[in-house]
Amino acid sequence: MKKSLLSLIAIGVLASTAATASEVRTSGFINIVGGVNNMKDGEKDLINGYDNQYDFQQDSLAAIQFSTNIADNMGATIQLIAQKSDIGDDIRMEWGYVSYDLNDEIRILAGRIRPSLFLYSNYLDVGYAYTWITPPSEVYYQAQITNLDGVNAAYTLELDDSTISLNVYGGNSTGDKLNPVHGTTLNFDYDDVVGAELAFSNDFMKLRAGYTAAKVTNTNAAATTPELLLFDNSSAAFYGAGLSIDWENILFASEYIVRDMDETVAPDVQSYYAMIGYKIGNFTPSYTYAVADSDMEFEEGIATANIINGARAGQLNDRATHTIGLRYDLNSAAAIKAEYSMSTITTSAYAGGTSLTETDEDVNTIRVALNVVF
Amino acid sequence: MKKIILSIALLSSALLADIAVVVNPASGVDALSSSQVKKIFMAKTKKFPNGNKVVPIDQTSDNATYATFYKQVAGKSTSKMNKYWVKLTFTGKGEAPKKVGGDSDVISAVKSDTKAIGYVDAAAVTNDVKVVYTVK
Repeated sequence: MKKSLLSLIAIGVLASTAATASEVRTSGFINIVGGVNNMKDGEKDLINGYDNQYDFQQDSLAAIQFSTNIADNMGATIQLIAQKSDIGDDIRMEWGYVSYDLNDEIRILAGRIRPSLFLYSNYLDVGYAYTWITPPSEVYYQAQITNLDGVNAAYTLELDDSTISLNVYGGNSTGDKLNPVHGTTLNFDYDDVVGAELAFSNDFMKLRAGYTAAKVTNTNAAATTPELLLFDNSSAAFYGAGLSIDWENILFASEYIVRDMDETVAPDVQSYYAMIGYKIGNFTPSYTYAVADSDMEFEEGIATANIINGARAGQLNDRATHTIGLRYDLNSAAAIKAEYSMSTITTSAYAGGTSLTETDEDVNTIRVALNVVF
Repeated sequence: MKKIILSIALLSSALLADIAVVVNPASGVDALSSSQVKKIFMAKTKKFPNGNKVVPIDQTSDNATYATFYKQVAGKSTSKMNKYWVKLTFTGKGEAPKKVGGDSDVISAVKSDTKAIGYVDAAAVTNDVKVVYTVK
């Protein structure tokens, strides 16, 4: 109850303002995405959710956002997203906050906010705003929080031709949630989330670094799960740096991130990608290389070592993907995209002692998308 | 002959159209620099340099003045400006200025609000507004 109180306040304020007078601005976005890969019958790419059957649901969504000014320095925003997921036909409040401008430099958001974990986290769902159909899963799969019930304070210092910004946030994220990149359900609670992002940006580039810490609990864990595999108020940290450039016709983006976990079933992971694109009129061809590299931590000398090592090995999610993409801007509010990805997915099995048996599988995935903003 | 000279003059002024950044005569603002204009129209500040609140009024992006203004002032094409506003709107960092239409709509919005600032083709400037910066 307490957890969603802030977001309820945000809705309440918005509703009451809407009822009184102020102008309510409406905006939104739609992503329609279809994809298929060439895996064998019954196999599924566990990171991006695709298999050899055409799927037009998991990455497709529609969002509507309402915002209004309550006073000169105060506003309220809510964003609702409709997306098919394992939970069902889900309409969720992705955002719902009251903003307060202390001055030109400091803006405080309270309610349901989006933490700026990584470079694209703040607008991960807004397909129109970036070159890809979705930002590389290798990085964006690693943290399952897309929003927090809490507070975000942003400090922005405008220099002559550049901006320095510091974002600090805290809160929690409870209940079933969607995988941030693709529509599968996760029964994870993220409590005591605190984080900060420092960014430098100008007209053609953004450089940022961030750190976020959280306590993770799997609310759907089997009672028999050994403690060394359990998410039970387990510490997790996500940190990394990123750079994006949009200069003349050249596009570039790159990130390096680390997921640092307590001893649980989930591995520590380092992920990175680099994307280069070039705009030719309304066409933007691009190439992206992305890697996720996870670390196995072996238990030795305890009775349950084999069970624990076996479970952990099954969670290793090493992969490397080459993606060729083409974006075509239909007009100033719509883009169509096509992507062809070649992934090498490495699955691991525990092989006794401190050794693993690794199997590589090459998977090719095709996706097409229509992104609209309004 | 006179007519021809006049039309040549009109034609050349249309081709080399300066864009005037205009405010309400009662705003208390006399002049702005290029970077101050940029910050106001890109929602990086909510105040005039004198501390008064500012409300930018935008043209719709189908006007040629829109493209020229943002290319000159912000160094961004229309499509880059679109992406800029999409990111700002959907990250909670700010709101795009209100779009009212073309030159005459901007003039009437500015003359009725002491907090307003707009930009119009220099040839469209009237006595109802005050020019505080000219984009050449």
